[in-house]
Amino acid sequence: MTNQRAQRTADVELRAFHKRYGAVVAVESLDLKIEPGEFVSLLGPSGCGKTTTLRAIAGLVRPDSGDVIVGGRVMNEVPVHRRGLGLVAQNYALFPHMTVLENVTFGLRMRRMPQTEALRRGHETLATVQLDKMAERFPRELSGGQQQRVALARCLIVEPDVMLLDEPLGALDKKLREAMQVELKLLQRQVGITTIFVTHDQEEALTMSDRIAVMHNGRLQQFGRPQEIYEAPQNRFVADFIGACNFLECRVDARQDGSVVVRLEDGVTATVAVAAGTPAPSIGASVIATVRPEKIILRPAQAKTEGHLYARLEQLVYVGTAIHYHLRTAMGTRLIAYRQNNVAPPPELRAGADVHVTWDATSARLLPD
Amino acid sequence: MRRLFLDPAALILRLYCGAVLLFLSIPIVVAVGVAFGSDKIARFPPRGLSLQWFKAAMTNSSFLDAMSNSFQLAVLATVMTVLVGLPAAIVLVRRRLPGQGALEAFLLSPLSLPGVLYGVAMLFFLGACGFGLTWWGLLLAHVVIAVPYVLRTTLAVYRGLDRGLEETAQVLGANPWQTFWHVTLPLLRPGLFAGGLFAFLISFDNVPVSIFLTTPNNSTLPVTIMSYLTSQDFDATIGAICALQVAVVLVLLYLLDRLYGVGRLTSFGA
Repeated sequence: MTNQRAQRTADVELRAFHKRYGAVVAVESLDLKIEPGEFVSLLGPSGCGKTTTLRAIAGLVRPDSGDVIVGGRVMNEVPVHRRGLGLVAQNYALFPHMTVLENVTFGLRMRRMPQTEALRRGHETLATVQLDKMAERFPRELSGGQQQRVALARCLIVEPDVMLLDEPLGALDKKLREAMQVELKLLQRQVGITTIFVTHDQEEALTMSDRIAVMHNGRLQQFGRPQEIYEAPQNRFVADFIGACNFLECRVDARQDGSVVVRLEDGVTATVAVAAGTPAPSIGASVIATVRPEKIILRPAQAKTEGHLYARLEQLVYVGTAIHYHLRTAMGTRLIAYRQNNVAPPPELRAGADVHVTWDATSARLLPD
Repeated sequence: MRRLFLDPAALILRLYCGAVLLFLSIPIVVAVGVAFGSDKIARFPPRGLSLQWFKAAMTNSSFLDAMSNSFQLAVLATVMTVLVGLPAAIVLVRRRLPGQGALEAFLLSPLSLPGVLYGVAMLFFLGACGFGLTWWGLLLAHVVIAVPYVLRTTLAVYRGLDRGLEETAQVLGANPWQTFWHVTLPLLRPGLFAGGLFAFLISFDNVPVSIFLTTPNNSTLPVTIMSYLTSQDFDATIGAICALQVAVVLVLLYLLDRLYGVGRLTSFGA
């Protein structure tokens, strides 16, 4: 059965997809190619066009121009119900007047599958999400997590070519959400179904996705593996949206192989990596270097040495697994640094102290644009 | 609970609610009570009990014909009202047409039009059309005044529905007709039933419109009662008729409750 499903799973492609609502551009010339069996997140803040993109693939939104291609077939003129897709909508959209079993077998019944076969498959699918005991209940009698699994079962039972998930975990509390992330990802792996997952939660996207498409203002900002997105953001929006990030304005002092030496404030210099495939900027160019907070190393500053970066420790925030240090340099640039609580924090790192700020040469990156 | 009674605010609220309920029910109690009296003239409280007025009412063919006519009219008017109100609600909620607001206001406008005015207008209109005073004209008039009730309740339910329900149904393979039949219609049922019930009662009770459009041959019950009251020294037969009319409505409500549950008609609560 898994094999059969794996064969059915399809690639999804958007070509120059464009959609506007009145004067507002929802999505602008989007090109996206999703491989068969891949788990791709559409990530961005609200209004970035991610939901419009998902709805266009489903056929619930008609593109102004461009093509939606699923499994090599142009879908633009194919009605929603003939696209062979599955959807888990926001808030699950379980049919309140149907039992769990009726909900789950909905797609099969609409395809006029014989009753006995539909019921058998319904129980079977409910068993895979551990809800076979709930078959005769109504959705309102289930917990949020159970409702979510029913929605998933209802989607998977039709063996869709592509599964579309529209913020399906948004309504769950944090603990349950994290458990469902793992469960959902496992299920997706088992079934091997192409999955498109809309979320505004960057952590969720990082945890679950094979690749992430970061969107902003209707445009695709970056499309890549979670590690690429996090470690090598292509622009300031992506760097800022995914995790926290320090941005340092600086000037190029010297060019090296794969990196540049930049001059920060007060004549402080640092070595910063240049993304592979992008040309190193010319000497004297004004650029932005990025450093993730967890890559910053803080040391108590005994004596200040020329050429090193120092900052005043303004605030410490204890978050359990780590301490967040809020810093301000002599020139007024704000920085944030994380320090894991695996060893006790040095007592010298207290509010008001001056600290030496440094990082590994490979940890700082130049923003490509 | 005892404390509730002692709390002056709660006491006042209870008294107030009691007064309102009393005010609402006294006329009905009086009308029905009169019917069980043995006096020639209508009097409350009745002196002595008898069922003679019910006998009189049940043998009065003009009342019986009117009641049967009113009943048929109300049933058919309800069905037709739903057949107009449901498609209208679907268009108003799910389609984007120019002048949608105006269309909604127009369909709801009979609510704000005085019944007498509408009755006169309908009389002239049917006359001008060469339709004349027929039963079907009366039915049409009832449908027009009942449509706003079905439309309003159905619109309210439809606008409260998560759009994702219909969309998910479609993505999962339901064609537009299946989506309507298996998802939209069952979910609109509370609004349709509540509105349909209103429509029935509006038609069954109506005087101001019916009075212009009925003839002696197709008089409705409320119109017959009206003319009985104004045309002769009325006796307690009228009380018996009122009691029967109340009974018809109560039986209907009871049957609906047994068949569907009035609670279930208005929500999907457990």
